[in-house]
Amino acid sequence: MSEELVRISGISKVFYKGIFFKSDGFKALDGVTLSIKRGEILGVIGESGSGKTTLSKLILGLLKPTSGIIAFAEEYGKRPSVQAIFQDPYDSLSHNMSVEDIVAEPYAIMHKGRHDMARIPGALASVGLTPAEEYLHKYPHELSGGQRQRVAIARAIITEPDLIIADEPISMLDASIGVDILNLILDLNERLGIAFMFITHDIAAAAYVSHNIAVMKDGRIVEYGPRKKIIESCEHPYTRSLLKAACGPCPDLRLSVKA
Amino acid sequence: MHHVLKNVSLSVGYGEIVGLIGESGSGKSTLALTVLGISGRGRSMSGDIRFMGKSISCIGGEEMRRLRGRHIGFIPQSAMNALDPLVTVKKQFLETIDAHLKMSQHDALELVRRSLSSVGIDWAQANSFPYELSGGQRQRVMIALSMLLSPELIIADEPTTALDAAIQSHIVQLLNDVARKNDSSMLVISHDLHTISRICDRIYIMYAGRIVEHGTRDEIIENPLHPYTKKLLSSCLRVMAEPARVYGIPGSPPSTLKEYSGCDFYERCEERSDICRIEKPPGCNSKIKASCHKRG
Repeated sequence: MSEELVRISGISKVFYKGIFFKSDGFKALDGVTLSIKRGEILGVIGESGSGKTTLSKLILGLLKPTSGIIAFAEEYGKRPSVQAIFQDPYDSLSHNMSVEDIVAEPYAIMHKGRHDMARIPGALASVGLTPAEEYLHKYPHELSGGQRQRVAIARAIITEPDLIIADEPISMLDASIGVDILNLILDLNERLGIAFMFITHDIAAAAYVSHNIAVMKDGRIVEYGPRKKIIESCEHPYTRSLLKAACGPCPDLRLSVKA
Repeated sequence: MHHVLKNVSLSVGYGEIVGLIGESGSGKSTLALTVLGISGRGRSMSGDIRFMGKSISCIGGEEMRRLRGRHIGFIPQSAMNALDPLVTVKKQFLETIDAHLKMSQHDALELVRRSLSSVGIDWAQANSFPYELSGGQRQRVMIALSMLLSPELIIADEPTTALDAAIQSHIVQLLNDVARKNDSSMLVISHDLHTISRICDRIYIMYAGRIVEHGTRDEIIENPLHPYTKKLLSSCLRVMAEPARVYGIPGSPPSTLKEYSGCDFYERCEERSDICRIEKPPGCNSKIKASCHKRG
């Protein structure tokens, strides 16, 4: 639990408009320092434009930082593997591939083209798509939004990653379906010990799954701490405004509902 | 053949804000498009839609076009993409005025200015193109555009989906303020019972193309009758420091292709009994609040 998996120190990312570097850049990330421990779920909250997605792309290696270091812990000379789940399950799955092909692809890429079809039913079963045989030969358009997001998660866990970056995985789903995806993330974290970086704008969802929460605003981390501290005694006014927005004008409404 | 809406009855009173809640695929948007008469080709409809006492289900396209925008405002789903990307905000407003009213250029500009300021958009931004505005700003522009000619009824289809949590509550509050100020009626369609219920007077719950429960906001929130409504309420996440497990609704959302002989919710219901499988529960009307065998 205490072992660090990824350490991000002093990361900045500047996007330049146009071709010439002379123009004023837009600073998407400004000196972010953060670490993700093994088996931890780290919630990252912020509004759109706060740099959450840029941060996830930097960890995934899809973007290069302007300055700063991202360091992965090495174990037995092997770097931890990182996978991603994206926001929109309607766009992130190829329309031309069956569920079987979609889930098999990352494993084949990681093992130089060697397929291991026997792993696929297990991966589908662990994301709750059972019986797996029924789903193997379906195409994404035959599945509902929640099922598609489960396929995306099965694709992420097939390579047994140490860390999964989940970028707003529930914001496109109905509230009742989103809860089930959050439960699945908790379940995978407990059973397989996968660490998650859970990116969201919904503080209630972050509070539900995360061990630690980082609040981002304008490319900086304005508050970081264990869930309990952030929810009960946050210090930054921005965090407080997020909490207020989540509870709404009548804060007792959500609390009065019996589960 | 998809049978999307099944025997739906719904009313919106003068100056009332009514919520229509259901999962994706339950037929909410189809209902909105049917009322607006833009439901596309190949769709057939039976029944009657009345607007201010006049039947609008069989009037011609031209007459319907004159109603839309002038008397019935519409905030479409993904309002962020509903604005014309090649036309400035101001011009889109002027076009709407031109289509419905004879007004001098000066008066029209004044109306646009007032309309934009009522949703908190700076006049300096009126000349910008939609892509230059943020998601929340575009949603505000869309609300202003739908309210421009003070329509008697506004239909808002998922007005808060795809927006940040903090902006969501602003937009919901804004919808409430503008509608109450202009004394407009509003039908708000959403899958998010909790966000929308803050501003609604009455709420309808839709499942598989049917209204399964209706009542005032307090009735639905405090004392839900239908098992589906209870599930919707209990699957909502609250901000918790020490989380207790919350469960969603088991099973998958209903398909419009399947025809169930019994209750549509049977497969996912926890309170089901034998009668639910065999016989359809009575439909909602003014006397029956919830369409469920267990409760009348």
